[in-house]
Order: sequence, then structure tokens, then C-alpha cells
Amino acid sequence: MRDLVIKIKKALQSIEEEKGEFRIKCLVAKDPSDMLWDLILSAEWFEDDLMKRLDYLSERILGDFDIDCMLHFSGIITYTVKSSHPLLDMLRVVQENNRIGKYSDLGQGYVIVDSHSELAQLIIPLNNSEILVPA
Amino acid sequence: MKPEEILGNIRQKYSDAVLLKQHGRYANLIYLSGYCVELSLKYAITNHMNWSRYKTEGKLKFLKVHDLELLVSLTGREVHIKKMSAWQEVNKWSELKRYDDSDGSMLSDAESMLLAVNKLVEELCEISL
Repeated sequence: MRDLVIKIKKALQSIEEEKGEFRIKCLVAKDPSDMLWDLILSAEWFEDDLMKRLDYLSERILGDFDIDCMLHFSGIITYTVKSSHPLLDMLRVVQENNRIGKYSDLGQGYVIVDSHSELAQLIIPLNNSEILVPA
Repeated sequence: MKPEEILGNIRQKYSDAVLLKQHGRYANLIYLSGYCVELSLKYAITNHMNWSRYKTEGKLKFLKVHDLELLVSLTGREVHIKKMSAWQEVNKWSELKRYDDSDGSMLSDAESMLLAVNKLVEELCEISL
């Protein structure tokens, strides 16, 4: 799981250097019993063409995923900045809480937030966490 | 279900999905497209296991599912398939209940879904729709 988070963080950092920041970047698991994560992304620079957007993100983020990473990974889900959904509202709050250091990582290098929400029970905010990204 | 029956079923459902697009029934199109992907995964599993048909009897009754995530993990090609942009699109719609961000399905959603289904069927079943 830690390997999955490190790979995604590293890929997102590289994309942000090239394209600009993500407004939302969180891993979300609907069911804590299987720990299968969706990567939720939103950015101003997203292409309108969904398939082109997904082509780019899939190649950049999933390129070096192996079977161990895929066992815990479900898919990439993107939203334009114009999208509105309660899930996005919740992720914005979690990211802000993470930014101001409201959560502690309990030593694993990233934060897992239990939202108690049916939308997404577990959330890993990928903004400004304490995890070290290898150069 | 035998492999050739699965392929016939996929072609039929895909044709129906295209008809739904022509009539502006985008939500139903997306539902039917997801079923095409499910069938494609079952076809790929049948091939991978060297079965003469997709089996769901006895101890294999757990294969009587619509869970795309479980099905793709049994194709022997999980990593490759899940890296495809088409998978991300289909996965989004399989999570429709939680992640839907629109008031209703639109033409662009329908076109993206049809394109994604095309790519996945071609990859999993080695046929063109």
C-alpha cells in the first residue's frame, strides 16, 4: 500500500511540474474491507476531451504500476473544476484539514481519514502530506 | 455460455447501445455498455482458463457476478487492462452511484463510453465492433 501511495505521489508531482497543480488529488476507498482505492483528480488544466485526458493521466500515473499496486488500485476518476458533487466538497475539506496538519499519519508516512461517509469511507489526501517522495 | 455466444451477445448489446445513442437515451446506453465490458471480461476469463464455456456452477458460483474489478483480476491481464484509459472511463461509470457529477448523462459521456467499450472489447476479445 505504501508503495502505491509513493508511486502516485511521485507521478502527480511530476505532472504538476509540467501542467500545473491539481485542485483535488485524493485516494478514496469505498469499502474498508477490501482497501481498493480510486484516485480522484481535478485540475484547471484538464482537457475537455475526456479520453485524451485519461490517456495522458493513465500513461503518466499508471505506467510503472505492477501487480502488487494494481491489487489495491481500482481506477482514475477525473472531474473538471466546474463539476459539483458532495464527494468533491468532502475531499476539499479533507485536503484543507490535511494542509493545516489536523491529521497525524501514525507512522506509515501518509494519512488515512475515516470519513464515516457512504460516498467514500476512507480517504488519503495526497496534498502536502509528510510522506517522502524519492528524487 | 460458450465463447461464441458471449461474442454474439456483446455485438448485439453494442448495436443496441449505438441505437440508444441515436435516440438520445444516454443513461441506458451507458448501462448497456457496462454490460458489454462485463461480457468481454467473462470471454477473456474463459479463454484464459481454457474453458469451453464460462462456468458458474458448483465452487465457481462466485463467478456469477457483475463486479468488473473481480472479473478483470481473473483474466490474467489485470495490470495491462487497468492501465488503459478505457478502463478508467468504464470504471467511472461502474461507480456511478457514488461518483456521478452530472444531472444526467450527456452525449459526450455516451461517446466516451462507446469508445472505451470498443477499445476494451478489442483488447479482451480480439474483435472489432
